[in-house]
Amino acid sequence: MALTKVTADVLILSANVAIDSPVLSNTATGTYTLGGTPTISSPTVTGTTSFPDGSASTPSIFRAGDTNTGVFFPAADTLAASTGGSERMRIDSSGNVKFVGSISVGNATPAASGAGITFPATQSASSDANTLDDYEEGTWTPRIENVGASQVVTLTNAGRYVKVGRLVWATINAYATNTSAITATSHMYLRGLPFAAETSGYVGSVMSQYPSQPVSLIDIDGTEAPMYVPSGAQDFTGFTRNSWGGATSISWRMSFCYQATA
Amino acid sequence: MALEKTTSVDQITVTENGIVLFREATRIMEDGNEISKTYHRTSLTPGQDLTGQPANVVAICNVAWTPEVIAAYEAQQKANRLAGDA
Repeated sequence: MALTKVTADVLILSANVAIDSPVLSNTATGTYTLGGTPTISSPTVTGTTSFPDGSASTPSIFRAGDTNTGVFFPAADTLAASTGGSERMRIDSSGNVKFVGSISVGNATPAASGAGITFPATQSASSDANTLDDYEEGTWTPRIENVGASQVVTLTNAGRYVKVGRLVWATINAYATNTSAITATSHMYLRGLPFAAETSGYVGSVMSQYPSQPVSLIDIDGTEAPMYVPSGAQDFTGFTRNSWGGATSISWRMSFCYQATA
Repeated sequence: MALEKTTSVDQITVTENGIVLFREATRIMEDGNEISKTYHRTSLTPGQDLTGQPANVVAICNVAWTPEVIAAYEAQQKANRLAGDA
């Protein structure tokens, strides 16, 4: 051992000394200080270990050679992590967690734009009633047909949708020029819903149809929704072209909600 | 900096009663990294005309929509239809 000096309280070793399987122990309260930048290979710590506060740019625990990425302690009872010298995550003394950028669940890749929660592109459905397991937004292709789909209204534009968990909110903003394809007294069905609906019997919300009268979706089933209009104080009847006076072209502007199967 | 726009069917779902739902994803890629993504969804009911639908969706519909599936779907829908509709 390259022991160079022993004073009353200090053991000094020369530089670049290797000590095989050293055990530093102290039966009384005390501190061992290793000066300079010693290299310790695979130590086992049986007690607690403390580190200085550090900062986002100089975290107190970091990967060798990457001094601006690691863990630091910005305040008492507070833990934080940084990458590239910037704080990315913090847990405060109350257990609140703050993320600076996007987070993802289900092994999804966090969105590169903005900040938010990114869900998997393919839903990983949870059966738990308190778990939010999906978010998606996009466009869809609505169809308005008679019961047998032998008469089809051509819509010139697509609908939009937002799905949050099992809740689907969908809109249609389209113009139809051939509503006469459906005979004036045939009931109309809205089809092509972007997600399959929960078991038959569920009721979609009332939607507004421009410029005529409100239409209701009742008994949404699968991706089909029969269309109804009020026929009295407490009743509904099937929606037909005659419901808006037999017009052969019309703007369809609707929005409605329903519950998806997952 | 190379921009590339791609559209593909990235999800096809067949429900228990034969409804086929599919999603087309349009992605804008810059040097191989995705910078934008939009979705469009379409659903098809058993027996529906498949003209103009993507080939891989048509292939799945043709497998899933057996005469029995189409008949069962029609029977199921009848129970849900408006009075007067066959």
